[in-house]
Amino acid sequence: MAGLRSAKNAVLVALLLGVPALLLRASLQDPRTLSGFDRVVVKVGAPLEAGVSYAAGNAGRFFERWLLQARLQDDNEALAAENRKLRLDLRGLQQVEEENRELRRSLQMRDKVAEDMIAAEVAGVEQSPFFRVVKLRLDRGDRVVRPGMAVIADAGVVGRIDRAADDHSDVMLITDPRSKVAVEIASTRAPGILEGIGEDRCVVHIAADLGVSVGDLVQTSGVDELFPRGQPVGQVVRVDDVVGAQQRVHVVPSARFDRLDMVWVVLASAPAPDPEGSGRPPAAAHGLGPLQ
Amino acid sequence: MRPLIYIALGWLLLAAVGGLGQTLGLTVMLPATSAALVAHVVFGRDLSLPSCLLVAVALGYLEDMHQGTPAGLLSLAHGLCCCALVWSSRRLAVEGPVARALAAGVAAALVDLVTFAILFFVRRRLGVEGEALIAGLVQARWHALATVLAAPGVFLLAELALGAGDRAFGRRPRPARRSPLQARGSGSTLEGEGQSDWT
Repeated sequence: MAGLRSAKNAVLVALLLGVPALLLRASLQDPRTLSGFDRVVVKVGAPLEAGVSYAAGNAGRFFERWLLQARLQDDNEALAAENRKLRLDLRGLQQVEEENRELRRSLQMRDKVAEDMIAAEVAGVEQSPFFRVVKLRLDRGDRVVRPGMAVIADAGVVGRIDRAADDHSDVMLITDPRSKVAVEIASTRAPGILEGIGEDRCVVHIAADLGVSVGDLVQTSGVDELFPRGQPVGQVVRVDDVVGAQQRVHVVPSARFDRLDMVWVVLASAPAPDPEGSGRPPAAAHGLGPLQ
Repeated sequence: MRPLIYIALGWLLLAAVGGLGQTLGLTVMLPATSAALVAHVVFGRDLSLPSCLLVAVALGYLEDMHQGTPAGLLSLAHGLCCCALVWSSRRLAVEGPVARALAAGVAAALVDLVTFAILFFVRRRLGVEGEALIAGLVQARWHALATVLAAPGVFLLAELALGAGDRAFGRRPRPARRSPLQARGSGSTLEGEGQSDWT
């Protein structure tokens, strides 16, 4: 039985090895001189070859798509990272642009104001509920700033120097109850004294016979010889009649103290106008001594 | 049924590896999945010798079709390689995944060597230079190395496919034939196993 099995296996092995040998022989023949057996081999092999090529092509396309998607995902991640970086850069550029705009406004104001001034960078704003103080860092370290000097910004009046030490100073805002600034209603020139009442609000007491209405602009009158004349202070938001010959005018400052970046400290009064001049406004004073 | 599963899996692997190689631009360092499957068939000792040879020749024929070699070249190489592996499996114990993977690499090298020998024999009729054949044979080491690396995956796929085939056709898995090492450990010899096709 075992011998029969071995013989059968030997025949099968010979057959299975003989078939590829015959196939090889057929494929090595000259195509012009193919025998009948060789032609059968070619005819049988052709559709099989087409099927194998089709399967391989489909598999190739599948892997190509898969790889392409992986590459697209990588590209997408790289582009997203680049986009994040560009957004950050854009944000930085917008900040620089805003700072540039602020500096331009400050420089324009510097040209408009005749008084001698020194620029100062705002170092911080105290957010105390009882009083608010703007801390300044001067761009010059000399001792030119003294308490009482006026501080203005391009948006309007800020306050006065309260304390000064080296290159740092504290500014008492115009909303501080201790603050008093000589102002006038821009449209009627009605004079008054602006007093702070806290909470970003000021009041001015003005004679009752002078017309004041909500929305009027309030500016410095310059009579206190501290603030340059004509600097914007705020806007009237309410007018109360009080007993007596005065009216109580509520003013909201035009400067946003929490958004200040750069201010100017007025060091000296403007030079007296030249009576023999051509009527042009006096040029800005530079390098005068501090206000005494 | 098992030979058909091996052939179908070999076709799929052939197409997949070819497509992957085409996509990644690989030409030399591609695993010979058919050789790995032949090693799995032989050292799995689950099929009879003619069935093993049928699988090997069929896989070789698919390789012929896929690679565009003269029909019968790789079929014959795979068949001869299968015979050599069967002969060695009666004398060597190839147990464990590492030894099986190495055996797959040896099978790939053997197929390349037999292919080289056949091509060298018929080189004049094919118009192939002997130096080009030798250069190709030198590159075969990468072929064998790639086969060793890919063999565990191929074996895993084969086991999964065979298991799925067994479950699908309600066939109880045949107990694997004992290797020479196991046979020697149990006291019997291969020569005494008269019922085996492998003797």
